[in-house]
Amino acid sequence: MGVVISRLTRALDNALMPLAALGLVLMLGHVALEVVLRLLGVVSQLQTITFVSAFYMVAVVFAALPYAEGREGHISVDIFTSMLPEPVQRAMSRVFSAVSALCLGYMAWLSLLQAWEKTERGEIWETSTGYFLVWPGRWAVFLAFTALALHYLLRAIRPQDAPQQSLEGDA
Amino acid sequence: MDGLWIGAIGFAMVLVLVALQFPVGIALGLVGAVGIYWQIGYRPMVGILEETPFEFTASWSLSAIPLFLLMGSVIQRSGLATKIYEAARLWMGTMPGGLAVATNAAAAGFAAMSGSSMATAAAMAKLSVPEMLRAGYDKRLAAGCVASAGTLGALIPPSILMILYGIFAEVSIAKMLVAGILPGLLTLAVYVAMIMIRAMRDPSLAPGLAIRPAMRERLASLIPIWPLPVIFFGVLGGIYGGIVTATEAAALGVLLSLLAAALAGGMSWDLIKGSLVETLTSTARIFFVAIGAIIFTKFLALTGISTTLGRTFADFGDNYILLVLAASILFLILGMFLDPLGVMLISLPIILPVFDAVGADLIWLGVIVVKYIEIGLLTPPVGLNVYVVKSALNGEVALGDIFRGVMWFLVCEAIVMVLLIGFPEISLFLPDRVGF
Repeated sequence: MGVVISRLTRALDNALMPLAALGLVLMLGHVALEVVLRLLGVVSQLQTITFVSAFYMVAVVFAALPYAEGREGHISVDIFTSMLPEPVQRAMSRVFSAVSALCLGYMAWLSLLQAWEKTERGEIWETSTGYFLVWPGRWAVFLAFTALALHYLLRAIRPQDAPQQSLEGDA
Repeated sequence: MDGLWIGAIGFAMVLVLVALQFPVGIALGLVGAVGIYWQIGYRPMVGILEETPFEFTASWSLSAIPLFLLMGSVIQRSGLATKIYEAARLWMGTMPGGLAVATNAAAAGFAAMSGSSMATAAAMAKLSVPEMLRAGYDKRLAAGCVASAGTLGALIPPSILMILYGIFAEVSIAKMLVAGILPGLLTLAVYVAMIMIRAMRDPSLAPGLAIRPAMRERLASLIPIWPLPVIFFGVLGGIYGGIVTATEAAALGVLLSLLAAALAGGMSWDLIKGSLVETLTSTARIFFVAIGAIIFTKFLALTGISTTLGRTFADFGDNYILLVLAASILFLILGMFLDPLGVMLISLPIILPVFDAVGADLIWLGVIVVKYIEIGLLTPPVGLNVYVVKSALNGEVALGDIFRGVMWFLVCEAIVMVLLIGFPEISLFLPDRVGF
């Protein structure tokens, strides 16, 4: 069971992370091109804001989330739990991982329903130049929450697979 | 039950869960979701949970965050931090407490290209502390100086915390970024003054360098750091002049940092891959917490706690002191449980309406909030910057010594806070003159 989940999460991480990187590179290129064109006095039809919002940002965040959680762990403060006996700490960690897996699994289910509904309806945004298809981004949310739920489930089953928690934050 | 109590219970539950090492993002989202269910029922809760992750993330304004993180990551990996420190050391090394002063100056320079306080502390710790220790500096001063200098990263633009504050407070991100410049420089000046005074009073703390570098050597050290002013003024000049938005400025900053790395011969596949991976993981972690915070914020809005507190404090009128003291206590408590991002996102739903109700300037408030959060990075028991420095030095300096070394800088922070609260113009002078 643990081996199957481990393989599945790794496969999802490895499949999604290149998408996130592609989203970041495309976002950089798209925004830079828009600025250059504007500085040259060219009125662009690049729809940068829409592309960035509907696709690139969604890819950058959701496609990278499982990798970030799987490799880096989350920021946490162990000053209080470190006073507890080791077995209690381990048991708490497993219970919290299981609860987290449940929460994220529920989010995955809701985002699946949402993605399905938006796809069937062909969700679009109205822009100044026409209509813009946005439903594909909804599936990234579902994949991210599914992979995250699997990560936490794996941690509940096999706590030794949990990543080292880092004190280095991002802000 | 009264909304105020429901909000307070939700707040306490998040703190308890986080203290028990529950992931911050999930704790915020879980308590928020349960609270929303309790307040308005199952269907509305599902609606909020379904829409929030996508709607929050699909944002043009927030796209500045990954791009500024990418810029900082490229700069960090291109070795520019080393060159900035080297130049600062050659120019300032012979002053009283010269290496510590140089560390602060280099941290300010690095902060101008990196949006992260902890990244700045980590980069500077590896560069300057070993050299200060070799030069006979007091280890508390050396390590404390680096941990504190890191906080400049959250004030001097680009700052990720300032961008997030701008989004949540619905104020101009460009103005928020510019607002950090003078408070950052003020903090730097107070730090430098304190180091120099201490070094002059007790030279054994920070022995001066015996050999004064030749002017030619000092001038030569400035050549490799040309990207610093180019990137800083390129990014900030564009924002300040109203030519580009924060996202566009960040994209230009990434291109400039890549160009600088290429011209310095530092461009490699490892640099690109490492920067992309670091940026993506940092961005994902920030947004994961932020999505949880948004759900929690929606719960707090339903409880009416923000409105109630806002009405209560509105009677205080212009008496900011009491409010600022109350905010200090809140940040002190939150700082014991949460990382900087968590502190900001959980506190804003409470702080913003209250200060808004008394007519406080929200840009000034943003500077104060970021400053409080940065102080939290230095204070026990959590003091993340202190842990970062300890980790970067592989335990060469004990945690207790770093905390003791930081105490002098906390005194400086108190002085800076008094000035920032007493003279809001320090924070507002530049934003009031932004070109749009």
